[in-house]
Amino acid sequence: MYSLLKSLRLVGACGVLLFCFDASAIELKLRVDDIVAPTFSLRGIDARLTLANPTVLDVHIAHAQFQQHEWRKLTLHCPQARIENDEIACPQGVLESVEKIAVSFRYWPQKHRLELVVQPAAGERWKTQLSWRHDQLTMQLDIDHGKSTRLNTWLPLQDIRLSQGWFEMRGKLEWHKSMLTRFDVLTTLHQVAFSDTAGMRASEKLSGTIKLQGEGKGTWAWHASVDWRAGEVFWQPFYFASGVRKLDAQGLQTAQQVIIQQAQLFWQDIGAINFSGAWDRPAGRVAQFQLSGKALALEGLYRTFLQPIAPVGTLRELTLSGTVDGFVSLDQGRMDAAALSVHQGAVMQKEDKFSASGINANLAWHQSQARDNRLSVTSGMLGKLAIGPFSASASIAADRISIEPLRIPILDGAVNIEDIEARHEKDGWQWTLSAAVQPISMQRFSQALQLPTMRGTLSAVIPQVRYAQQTLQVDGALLFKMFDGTVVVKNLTASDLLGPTPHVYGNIDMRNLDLDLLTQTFSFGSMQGRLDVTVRDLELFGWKPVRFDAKVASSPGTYPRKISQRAVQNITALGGGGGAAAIQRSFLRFFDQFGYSRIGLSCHLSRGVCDMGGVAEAPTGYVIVQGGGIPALTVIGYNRRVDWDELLNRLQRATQGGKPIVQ
Amino acid sequence: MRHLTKLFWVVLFAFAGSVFAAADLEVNTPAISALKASMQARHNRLSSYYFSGAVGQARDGNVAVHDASLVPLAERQNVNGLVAEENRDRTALYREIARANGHPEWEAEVRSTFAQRWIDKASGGWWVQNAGGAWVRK
Repeated sequence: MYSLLKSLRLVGACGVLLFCFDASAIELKLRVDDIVAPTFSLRGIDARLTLANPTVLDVHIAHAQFQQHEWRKLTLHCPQARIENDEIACPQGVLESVEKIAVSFRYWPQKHRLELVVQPAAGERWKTQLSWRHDQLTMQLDIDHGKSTRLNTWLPLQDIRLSQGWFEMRGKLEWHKSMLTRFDVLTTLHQVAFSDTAGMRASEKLSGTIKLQGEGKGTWAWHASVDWRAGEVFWQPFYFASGVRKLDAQGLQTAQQVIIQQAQLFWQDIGAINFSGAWDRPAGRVAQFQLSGKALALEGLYRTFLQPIAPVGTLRELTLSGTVDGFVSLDQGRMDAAALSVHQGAVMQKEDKFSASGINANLAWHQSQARDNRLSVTSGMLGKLAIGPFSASASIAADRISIEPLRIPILDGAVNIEDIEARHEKDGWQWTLSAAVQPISMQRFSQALQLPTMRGTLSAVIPQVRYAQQTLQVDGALLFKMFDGTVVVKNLTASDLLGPTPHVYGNIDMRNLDLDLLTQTFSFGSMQGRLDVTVRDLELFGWKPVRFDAKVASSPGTYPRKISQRAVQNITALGGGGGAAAIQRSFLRFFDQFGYSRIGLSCHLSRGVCDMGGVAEAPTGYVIVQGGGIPALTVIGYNRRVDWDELLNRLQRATQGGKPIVQ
Repeated sequence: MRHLTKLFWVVLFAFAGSVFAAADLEVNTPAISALKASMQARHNRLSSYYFSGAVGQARDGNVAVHDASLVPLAERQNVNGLVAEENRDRTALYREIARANGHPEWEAEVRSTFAQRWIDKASGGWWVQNAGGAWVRK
């Protein structure tokens, strides 16, 4: 621009001047040489000055370019030009390009000043005042009600287009020898909308101010303030609703680096975050970066920034509260260190799968050194089980986590977890641990799970658990004590635990279960004796059986074996026999209890159908209860194939004390 | 010899194709039922986005955001979430159908077959991706 003005002063000297006369006016035609400067160029300039009353000035520019922006066939028409010794003025000009734009200017050659006013639309006014002396050019910018779409060609991200809104801009810029040396520009945005073509980065009704200041020659000192007052932004995957956000940053810029000396971002519902750093321009990466914040609201931080980037599943289904102090450091594009202190935090899974409250933690990580970490939880829920309080200490390194033995109280017992280790391998993190369940009252356990009240205690030893790639594997055997017997679970594995298809596999052996305790618990009808249960190839989906091979049989040994008439009816119903009716028709109805020698029932579950069997084959079915003693009763099952859901319904009716359905 | 080798591969692939053709794509297991139920429940929420053109059936057996600008700004994150959840379920469905057929290695073929099914069964007005990857309106 400076060079342009300088050239205009020399218009007569460098152009070709033609005089044309007619009766009423003198017409001067000027051809001005191309004006070419490092940042802009004007080519193919023709001017025509008609000396009449009023004087008319017409200027045609074939091609204008400013940085990477260009315009073709520009025509300036000044119907009331004023040419005086110290001033050239065009108070009511029209600039024609793609559209007609009202333009006025005043030019003072001796004072080295130009005032240009462009009014592209009603109410829209771009005013520029230029003054220059020697190698110095100063521009004063004053824009009222500027259409935001006019900024599209100036946006650094060319796939984003402004579509709505307007702005005001006030500022001052200075050049020295065509080099920008100082700027101070305040832009106020109103109701601005932008979007990329896919709609993945867009805003609506965005309002706020942007103040940019800078000064320097070679090395720049800059200061930026952004005050976002209203409007919403979607920047995949983040969505920012209308709210108060402020950014204040200052730093330096050289040919090598953009340095943020200090910056603060205030985000409504989260708090203030301070950061500093340097961007390596030739390498195109972060050279250094530090970020820290105190008393940040965990709920807002999670909802705004963490939840959108969490993988689909449990980590997106949380509600968090509490505050955090955080620190993150990057070095040469990689995270170098991080620290997080949680104060009075709480977490809740939206479907109440788990929750914890009173979380206080001091967590730290460094890429080359192990750091000590501490976590304490006041209370929590795992499903319907109350847990806590507990605390944990851990050593965390870049590729290894080691947690000291941990005791998590559950109801009146506890789970002791030891040897907790995680290692980062090629295919992700792999966890190992061992655990033991200290006796938990079955009464409290069953009540908590809203199951029929059971007696006894639950305890277990879990030799080793491995978890990697959403698959959990238990080495050795899980040992429980229930109903005065033992339950051993072997080959237990679980896959896709946090995914949509959680499967559990394993084998179960139950030995010497007390039938009296069992039948009392489930209101099945009284039975005395001992029972063994063997389940092979068990597959559960969503904790429901899909497949198994199960056998229930009397335990070996000597013990009282009695079965009540009601239990007989229920067992008969399970086997689909007509025994209940037969009892009612015979003298057996006068007895409450019967003796038996063996009980046995098997089910091979596959594709929703249970293939059933008993302790022995019978002519028309299979023997479920083999009679023994006086009075003795043998129960025969007749249905070999039973729909699993139907069987469950029968069992549920039996355990709820309802009348069995006999088929 | 080269011709024989070529013939061998042609026969092998033809055989593999015919083996997959025997796959029961309607097979049902509790996992498949649960996935279908989950997808059905989500379909009610996705349906309006299919009709508006915001979301379409991609050629890889997934759904994809076709034109987010058709959705109010505040809903776009939700649409992305629904698309991600749907794709997670679809991936699991293909895996479970292949497993239920006793051939986990058929997952890619199941996906490819379902991809065509989704596109064929898409309602008029929905956007689908053609074989060349271009989005077209049915």
